[in-house]
Amino acid sequence: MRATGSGRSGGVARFLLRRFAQALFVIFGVACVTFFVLRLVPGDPARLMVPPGSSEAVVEAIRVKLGTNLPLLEQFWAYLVGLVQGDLGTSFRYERPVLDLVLSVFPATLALGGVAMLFSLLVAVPLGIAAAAKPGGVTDRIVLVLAIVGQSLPNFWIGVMLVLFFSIRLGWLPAIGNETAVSYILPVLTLSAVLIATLIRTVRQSMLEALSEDYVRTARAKGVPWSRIFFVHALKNAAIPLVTVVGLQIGFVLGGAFVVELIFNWPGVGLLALQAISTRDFPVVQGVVMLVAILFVVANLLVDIAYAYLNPRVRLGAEQ
Amino acid sequence: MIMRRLLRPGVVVGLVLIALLLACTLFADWIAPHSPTRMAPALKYLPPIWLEGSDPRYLLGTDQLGRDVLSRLIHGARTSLFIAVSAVMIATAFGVTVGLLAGYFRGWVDVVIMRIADIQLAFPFILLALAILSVTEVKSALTIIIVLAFADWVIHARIVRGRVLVEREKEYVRGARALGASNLRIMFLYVLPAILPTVIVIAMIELAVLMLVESILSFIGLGIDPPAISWGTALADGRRSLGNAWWMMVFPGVAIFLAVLAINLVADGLADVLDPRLKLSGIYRRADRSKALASPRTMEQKESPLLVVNNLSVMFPLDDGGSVSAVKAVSFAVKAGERLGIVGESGSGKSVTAMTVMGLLDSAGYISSGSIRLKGRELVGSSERELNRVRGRGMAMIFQDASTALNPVFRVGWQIEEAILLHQKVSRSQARKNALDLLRMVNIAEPERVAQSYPFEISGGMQQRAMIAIALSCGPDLLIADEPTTAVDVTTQAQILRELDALIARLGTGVILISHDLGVIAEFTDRVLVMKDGEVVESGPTAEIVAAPRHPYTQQLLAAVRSLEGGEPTGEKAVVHAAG
Amino acid sequence: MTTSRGQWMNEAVAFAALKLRRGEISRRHFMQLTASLGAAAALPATGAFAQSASDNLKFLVGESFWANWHPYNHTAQIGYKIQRNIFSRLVEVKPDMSLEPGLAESWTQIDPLTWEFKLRRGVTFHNGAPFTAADVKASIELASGFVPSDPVLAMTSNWLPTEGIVVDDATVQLKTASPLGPIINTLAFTDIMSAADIAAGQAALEARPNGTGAFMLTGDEPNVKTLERFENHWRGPAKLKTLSWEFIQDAQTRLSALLAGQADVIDRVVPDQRALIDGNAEVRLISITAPEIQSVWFRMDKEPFGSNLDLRKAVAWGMDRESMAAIVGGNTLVADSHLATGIEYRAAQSPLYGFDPDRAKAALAAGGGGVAFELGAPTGFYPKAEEICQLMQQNLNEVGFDMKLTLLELGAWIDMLFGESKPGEAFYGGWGNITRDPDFAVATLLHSPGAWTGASDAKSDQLIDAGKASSDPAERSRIYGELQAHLWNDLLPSVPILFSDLSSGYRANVTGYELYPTAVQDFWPVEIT
Repeated sequence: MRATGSGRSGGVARFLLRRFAQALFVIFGVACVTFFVLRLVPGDPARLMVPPGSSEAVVEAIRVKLGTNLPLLEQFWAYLVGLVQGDLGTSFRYERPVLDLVLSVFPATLALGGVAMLFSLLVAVPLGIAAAAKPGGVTDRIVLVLAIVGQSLPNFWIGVMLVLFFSIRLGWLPAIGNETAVSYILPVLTLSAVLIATLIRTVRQSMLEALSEDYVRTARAKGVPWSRIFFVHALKNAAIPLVTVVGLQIGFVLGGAFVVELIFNWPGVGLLALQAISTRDFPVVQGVVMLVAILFVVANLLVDIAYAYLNPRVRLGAEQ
Repeated sequence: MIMRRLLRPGVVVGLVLIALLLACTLFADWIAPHSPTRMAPALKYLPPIWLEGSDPRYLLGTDQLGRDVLSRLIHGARTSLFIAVSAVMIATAFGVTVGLLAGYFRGWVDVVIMRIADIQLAFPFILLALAILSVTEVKSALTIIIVLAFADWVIHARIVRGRVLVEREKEYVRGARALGASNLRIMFLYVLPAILPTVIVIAMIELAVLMLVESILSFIGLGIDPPAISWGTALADGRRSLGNAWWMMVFPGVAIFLAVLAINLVADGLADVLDPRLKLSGIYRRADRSKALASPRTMEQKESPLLVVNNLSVMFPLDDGGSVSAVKAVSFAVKAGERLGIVGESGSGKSVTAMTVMGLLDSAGYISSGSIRLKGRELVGSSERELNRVRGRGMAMIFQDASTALNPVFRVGWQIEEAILLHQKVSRSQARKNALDLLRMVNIAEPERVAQSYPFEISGGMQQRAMIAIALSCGPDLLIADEPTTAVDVTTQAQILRELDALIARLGTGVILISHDLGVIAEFTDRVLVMKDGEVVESGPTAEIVAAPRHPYTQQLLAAVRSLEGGEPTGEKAVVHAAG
Repeated sequence: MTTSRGQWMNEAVAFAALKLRRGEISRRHFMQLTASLGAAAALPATGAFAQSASDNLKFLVGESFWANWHPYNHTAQIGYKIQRNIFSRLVEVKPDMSLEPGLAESWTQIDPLTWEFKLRRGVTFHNGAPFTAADVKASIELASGFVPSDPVLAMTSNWLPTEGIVVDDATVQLKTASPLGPIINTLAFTDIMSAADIAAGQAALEARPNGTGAFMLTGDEPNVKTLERFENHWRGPAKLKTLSWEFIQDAQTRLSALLAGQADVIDRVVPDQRALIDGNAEVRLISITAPEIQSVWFRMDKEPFGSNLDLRKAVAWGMDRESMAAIVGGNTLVADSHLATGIEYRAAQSPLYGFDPDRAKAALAAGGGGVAFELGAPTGFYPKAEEICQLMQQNLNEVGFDMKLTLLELGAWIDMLFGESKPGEAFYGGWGNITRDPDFAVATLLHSPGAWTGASDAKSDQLIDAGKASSDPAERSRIYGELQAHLWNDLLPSVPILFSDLSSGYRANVTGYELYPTAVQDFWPVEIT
């Protein structure tokens, strides 16, 4: 143990700077991988832009227009240059800037994922805490069963079943689209099911671990009542690993959102990307992937900031 | 014993389901009543056997081409399982290797590998799978396995890396390195076996995950090409026919659910047994209510001692249903201002006794008999609320390891203030001042700075002093000190003890000092209890006991201390660093 | 008959109902509103999105919109569909596939090469420009290739170069280089554009459509196109104010939306979904057999099928086409000719190639024994294509073939079909007619060079050319009769499997909606009551 005094403010800046540099590297890596993977699989976007059966000359003319006739590395370089300037290229099919296209549908996905994440936290955190309060008790057992069941269900199956009951049979809720607030219910439920299960276990786990730490014993020795130990002493410690898990889950939520968008025809980036793949609209696919990756990286950066804030060790730059 | 822990109801259910799954996989051709691919369009959409319009030959109905749903489920099990298992095996092999390399060699190897993992994690997997699978002409089992393994290796790599980072610092690795073993040898012959339990558990969990992912991919239309069947493709078919044949979607969904559930249940059970560190199931045994006899809580005269412990017995239940006695019929008393020492080796029950007095027993333990009276008030059978009123104010405790006993996310000053605010009616600012005074009282040089610091920012000695400050903040009548100096170096140890001694003398607090170190006991206590195996073997004034121990065990203890101090090595080592 | 007050009340109620439907007000609120209006409004039946009078129709389609608005440079059905409502043509197709006057009030054939058209007066384009003969001239000359374009427009393959001669503002003559039999039918899907727009160049035509149709394009998103009523349409304003088209690929999702009340009309309903529609009182289904044919196309320029009629016949006899039609259900019919139902001059052929494995085996033996081949099938477009191909695989493998089934999404299928390396030996594909004319059904698929099947058969070519050149019904009947027999018995470049079921779902309060066999519907008379 060493007493630090000078490292306090420098630690945070250094930590965040390092994470930021890592984030940039990751984004660059994603750009490379997307670009090459898309182009090295068979399928010619030019051919899909002309009526089927068109002559080779016609197809070649389109290739020139799209720029896909150039050598691969040249295309990549142009792409990178554009990327740095914030230009994600132009859609092959719609001849609109990819950035516009993607940003126009992005809020829908963001809303879906955000609401799902919030909802999941709102449900999972209290349940996890309640379970941790009396380990082995009735609540705990019920919650654990719920959690393990939730993690075992295929989420799209839940989604389709929900639509079958609530939209088709009962007519209570909309089946597609995101026009009204009510349309959020089924998609969010579908997306949240597995997430809630995972988060419950995480919260419960972190709380139990925190509760088994020595400082809880000290607090009890001080005469601190259980409720305070729970919600003040343990929770603040438990929040730290929880925040990390939430960061990791953001990636899975985004992935899950794609399937949900398909089921509910949610006009988000997932649908856009799926269609872009069918039409070999590479710039759009790339744009979506880049955006999702950036979102993921930013979310994790925020998580890191939250982590640094919550964990004084990190905040004050102590060496482990 | 392990089997018993393993065979919890959940795990048994899981194993049964898995056995069923395996049976389907191995004996599909024999079990399935029909061929899964034989099309009979005239018989399409027959409902399951309990519905009208069904055909008794087709238990679960038929699909859109007249194929038997049940047979397809059974054969689908084989494909789904095969794909998921293969993918997990590849992902594990690759991920573990990579994780080993990253964790063991660290440095740039670690950086590169982890950045690649980061990139992959940032990548929306579904899109990647889509891009690849939607353009490959043939979606064979192999293609899907590769895509799944590709998605999964990162999880294994990360977890393994984390474990290896910890393992490589351990004694046995250092020892092997000192012996000149090659890195490869160490990695695969030493570290790998140590982390194997974690690897296995994670592999099982990911198996469940990949089964789900395979079904998701099939659902979007990227499943294995017909005529091969997997549960995922069955689900996809079912969705298209939802209006006509709900059974086509429900049964495969149920099958997937049960399989994944089974794997999760078994994985949890395995985790519990193989690697409790993972604490996945975290099944905590229900705490038994204290079976103590309720004694009348009479307030007796001031004349009686501060603390009277009478015939106290504490038991801990075992996994196989029995219990073990940690403390057997222990009795002692502490007068106001008196200092009692409790000495014994680890396992003697001294710490358990102390914890029991404070009411801080681990949830599994329970008082089977006896009474504890503090200032005449019976503590056994009291509720937590009642105990909380006594703790901190009537009695307080300081613990062995101050670095873990202090809450790492709250400032030291705050932790002291909390104790004050809990038991005294003062304002916040008053509490803050009191806290600073307390810090001064325990000889901390810069109380303001320390109060503003987090525990990890101050030295071990200061942490211990802070803990003492917390304990003494409300002027308790009784202070229990459990091995208060074990975790500190020798010089600080002596310092702290002396300071504590002065403080106690000034405040007139009664003390129970627990230690394995007879020297410490001899110097600072008035009376001493010698414990062994949960029982008090000898008790009496310290000076007498030290001078003339009667019980052979006490004699051994003394002899061990003397030999260490005397510098002559004996065969015995009675001094063990106890964990209570 | 409604008074103006009654009308106002109806509108108010309709407005409130719309709000209820959109979830903007609660049911109780709705009741309060309508009660205060003194109107005994019927409580919306079931569901949160029950029926209500509205002038906004939502139409869900199953094909993604084409990349641009040039009407002459694609073969996408969705393109023709939406163009039907944005543009007008000289003649229009009716629901029974016959023709009626459109922008042309009447027409006569002056000589074998020339037709004269009397045009309607007082027609305007969406941008206000008046419609005259000059517009017809410019449109037809462009569409037919008389005015060359680079690259060659897709539409030209349906035409022969045709010169437009403006007689006066309301009279125009069309003169083809050589006789073009199908010309009137071809005019039925050649949209008339403004000469000024055409002069502005191809890019302008691709950017924005400007027609004389009942609706104007006001919203252009990749998956949602919004059309609004054109008040000065020559037939009078349409009943609907807005018509919004949305692409949703998944048939189940389209149906769910319809059942939940979030769409008014949906396209391409799978016959199996009838059960769900029948179970819902607010939704209806209309269904016909379309002039759309689904077949197995052979690569006629590649072994083993290219030169081996016996093998092709083995395939024909070896497929259980009746069961395949049953798999789809609805109004699907087993194909009995290369010309589908509703196409002029079609006739049932014989033998019907009913499922006969023994005969198939005999043909296979005659053709040299068991053969391995790969069949590429597109998924996600024709309903049950996957299932049909799986049954086909089972059938043919039992006969003695070794068929490898490759399922591809549409883009990859197109790639495979037209790829330079010509992978695969057979394909599952479909072709829908948008008029009754038989030329449309055969020219692209079969006429060399450039036939999609890779065929190059002199007799077919000659017959197709003859049919195209003649405008005498009796002669055309003879020619196409001979062509069908030749294709069915002597050439078999493809084995027709079925004539598609065409089904559309719509909510009960949608009136005036008719199902056109060509799948190119006119929304002008449609309203929501």
